[in-house]
Amino acid sequence: MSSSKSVLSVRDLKLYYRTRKGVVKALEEINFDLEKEDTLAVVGESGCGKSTLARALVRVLPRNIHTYEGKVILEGRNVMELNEEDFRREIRWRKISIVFQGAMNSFNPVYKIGYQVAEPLIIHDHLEKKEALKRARQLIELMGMPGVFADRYPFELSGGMKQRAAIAMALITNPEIVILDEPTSALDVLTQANIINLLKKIKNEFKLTYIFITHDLGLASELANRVAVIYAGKMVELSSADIFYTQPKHPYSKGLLASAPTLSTDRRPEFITGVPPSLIDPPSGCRFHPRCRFAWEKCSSEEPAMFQVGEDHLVRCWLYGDGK
Amino acid sequence: MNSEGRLLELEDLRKWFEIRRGFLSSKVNYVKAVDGVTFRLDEGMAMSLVGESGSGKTTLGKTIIRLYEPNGGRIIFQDRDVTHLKANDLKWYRRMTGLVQQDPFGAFASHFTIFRSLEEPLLIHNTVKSKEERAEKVFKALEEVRLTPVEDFAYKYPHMLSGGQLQRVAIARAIILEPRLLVADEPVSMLDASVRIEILTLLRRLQERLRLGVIYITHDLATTRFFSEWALIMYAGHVMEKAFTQEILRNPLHPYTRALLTATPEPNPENRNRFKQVPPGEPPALIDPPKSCRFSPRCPHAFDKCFKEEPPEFEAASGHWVKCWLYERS
Ligand SMILES: Nc1ncnc2c1ncn2[C@@H]1O[C@H](COP(=O)(O)OP(=O)(O)O)[C@@H](O)[C@H]1O
Ligand SMILES: Nc1ncnc2c1ncn2[C@@H]1O[C@H](COP(=O)(O)OP(=O)(O)O)[C@@H](O)[C@H]1O
Ligand code: SF4
Ligand code: SF4
Ligand SMILES: [Mg+2]
Ligand SMILES: [Mg+2]
Repeated sequence: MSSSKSVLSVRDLKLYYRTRKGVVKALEEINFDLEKEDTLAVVGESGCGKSTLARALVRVLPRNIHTYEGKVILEGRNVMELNEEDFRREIRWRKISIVFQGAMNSFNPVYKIGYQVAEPLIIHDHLEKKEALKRARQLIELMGMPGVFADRYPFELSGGMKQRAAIAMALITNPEIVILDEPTSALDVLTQANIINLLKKIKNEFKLTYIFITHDLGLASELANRVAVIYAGKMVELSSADIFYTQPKHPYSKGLLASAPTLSTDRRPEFITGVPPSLIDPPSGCRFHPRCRFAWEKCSSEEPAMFQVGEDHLVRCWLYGDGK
Repeated sequence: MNSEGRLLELEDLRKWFEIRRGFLSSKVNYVKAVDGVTFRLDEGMAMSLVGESGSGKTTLGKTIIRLYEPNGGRIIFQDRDVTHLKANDLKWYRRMTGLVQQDPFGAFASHFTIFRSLEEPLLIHNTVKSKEERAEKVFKALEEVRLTPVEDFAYKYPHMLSGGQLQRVAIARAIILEPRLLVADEPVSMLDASVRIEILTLLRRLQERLRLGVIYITHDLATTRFFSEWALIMYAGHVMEKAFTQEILRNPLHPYTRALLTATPEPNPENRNRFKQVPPGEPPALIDPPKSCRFSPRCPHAFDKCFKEEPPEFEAASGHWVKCWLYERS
């Protein structure tokens, strides 16, 4: 089912949370394939399920999971079938690692940066501590930091430096796929640009495949060759970046692009009215219909599928569906 | 330019924070957060104040509305020197100015309804006596920020509103005493892109309709364009460049402004194929900033003089000021 070239294929991934108010349908019907050295940007407003997708892929889940199912196929093997022990030993950090949202603020204040970067190696590879620390220092230098920063504590580093350390930590186990969940969103633009340059450089150097999660479409275009838009827990558009940025199809994607301010054109930014819905009781039919200016009756009664609109372009919208 | 009159003028305004090393120590250090800011804002105009975090934007904003007492320089508001106002005069100035802060979620008491939160400034300043009049003002403010039907929102609690809606309430609260100057400190940086534009568009309409002076603080140069007449670029407590917003964006002169422009991401699928030319490093600590040009440690164009002397502001083109030795006329 997955194409032979793909390093990662996701099929019908679904994740629901259990809460006191009801079941949160955070992620449904997620399907995509990634080839080696692709960067898939996952974009959408906050609360749409981007971080949930990240956590579902590395299986770092909170306790209140209601449903977690579907296929995650890595190199031809459905790793959803692995038990936790095997998943931890073979997949998480080894094949697919992650820089969590807000990672730079998650360092333990009482350990030195170098030790924390080395930790995945010590825990998962049972590498001798001295060897692991040496590797950590090398990687820290590769991230553009002075090696002595390995001996510093988190509070002694700036936000940008801590984020570089968080990236080093995700790379130390030599993964093939790295998930970056809003890796620069708390940083200043110059620091952000420097970190994006770094991410480009290490991607080339280590032949990495990225899943880059962001709500900023401008930033997404700095890395992505493919773009997935998610809205209210569902993917609504999936295509190459070249097509997405020049010929977006889904009304939500168009709205998002129109709201991104630009400095190089005279286009006045516009906004989508309303807010994303609660995922406990999402709208019937197309989940975007309460905010969509093209909506008609069918949109609120029937849910659109992902329709193929081009060779490498899928859109979940009745405007492009059968019988329109 | 607008002839109707100037609203606000800053002359060499300074705000330094005292830092003592240990509480018995007699050695006092200063964080020079705002170190000599001069500009003028006319009634009904908006000025963007742009810079990275730690550049002194919030300190400047709070000093302007006199939540902080300046250490030097002057603030002239409607031809009146408000630099060191006290007591009742200060209370008047508070009424004439409003503040919207960054975090909408932390801006309201959780046990107050929206109505009660909006009524608060009216009670404190005692500007309207009757309950009915207060209610009228609250509803009018909600209408101004398009939280309609107003009855639907007035009796809600903060947790029932989205970030964007709360930020509208914050704006309503800031304008309820009918101020002439509004400081909006990163009002949209915690919101999604689409909501950002919605809120900025609303602020812009209010500014025009009420002829408010607005100081829009942001770290995002891209949002200044359609939402301000003037822009002022801050770096490490200094104003590096100021001009019409359009002029700064079209013809940026200061190396720091140019770096900011280059670094600001724009949606374009070709971006992935190139690296950005941006200076490495980070802004200096403001306890001991470079004595010369504060950007000199990172500046790609720095030359000898830049490491020796602090540049003054040069008027490189009419109304376009740049604090950089490159624009010194020989
Ligand atoms: N542990 C959790 N328990 C219950 N609901 C959650 C949990 N984590 C996230 N959610 C909800 O799931 C939805 C998707 O959240 P998230 O994946 O964090 O979105 P994003 O990263 O796009 O902002 C949101 O409605 C959020 O409130
Ligand atoms: N109350 C304070 N006491 C001491 N230092 C402060 C205080 N407030 C801000 N600073 C310092 O002043 C500088 C400017 O801060 P701020 O005005 O908050 O910048 P910005 O809003 O541009 O991020 C920073 O170095 C900050 O640490
Ligand atoms: S299916 Fe209908 S409501 Fe949904 S995006 Fe398309 S036109 Fe809009
Ligand atoms: S004064 Fe010198 S160091 Fe400062 S910005 Fe200008 S060229 Fe660069
Ligand atoms: Mg998230
Ligand atoms: Mg600030």
